[in-house]
Amino acid sequence: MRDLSVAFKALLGALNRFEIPFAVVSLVAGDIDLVAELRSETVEELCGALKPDFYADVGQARDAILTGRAFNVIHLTTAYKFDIFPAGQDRLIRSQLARRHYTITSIGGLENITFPVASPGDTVDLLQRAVKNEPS
Amino acid sequence: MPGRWFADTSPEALRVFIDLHRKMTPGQRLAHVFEMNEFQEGLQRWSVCSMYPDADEREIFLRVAARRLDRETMIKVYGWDPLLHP
Repeated sequence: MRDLSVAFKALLGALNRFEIPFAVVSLVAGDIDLVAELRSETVEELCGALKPDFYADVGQARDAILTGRAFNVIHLTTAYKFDIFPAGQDRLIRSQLARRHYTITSIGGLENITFPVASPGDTVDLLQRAVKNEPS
Repeated sequence: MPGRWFADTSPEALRVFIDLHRKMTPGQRLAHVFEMNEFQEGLQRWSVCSMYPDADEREIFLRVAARRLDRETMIKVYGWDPLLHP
């Protein structure tokens, strides 16, 4: 768990450093998803800052912004994969970012930090949308 | 957004799962994800060590990672092709 904490903390640190609005949306076991207000100009800086700890492909990130699909970054020493969903014009993601709030957790290694999360209602909406396979 | 991880779940079980999620705080939900990751990692490590008793730490890491990441990603990120290491 500590390994995942280290990876998670490093990713949050990079997003904060570039003042990228984001929210953590953890839906199901095994996946940690984030939604973020990413722009082409900032994505290169973000991917650069994530190296050398992460695999982060600038081209994939730019495509994700253009197509409204997720891209992932992989923490190299743990192989944990984080999916990042650019907000773009996605109504639900924009709503999640607008209504995000800050929380703390008792997870080992993360006790002293606060981070933004999607509201519980938005997370359940997202879960139900995924189950119904509905578009945004 | 996520993959169809619920494809093998009955509608009733899915309703229960969604209700449980509704009751969790975001912090609890994330802690649950972390705990499940730790559990899965432990199981996968144990399984790899059982199947490949002579594997060193690096090989164990790569084989565990290959259960989580697809082949293309394993090759791109780690330069390791799971198909070449059956």
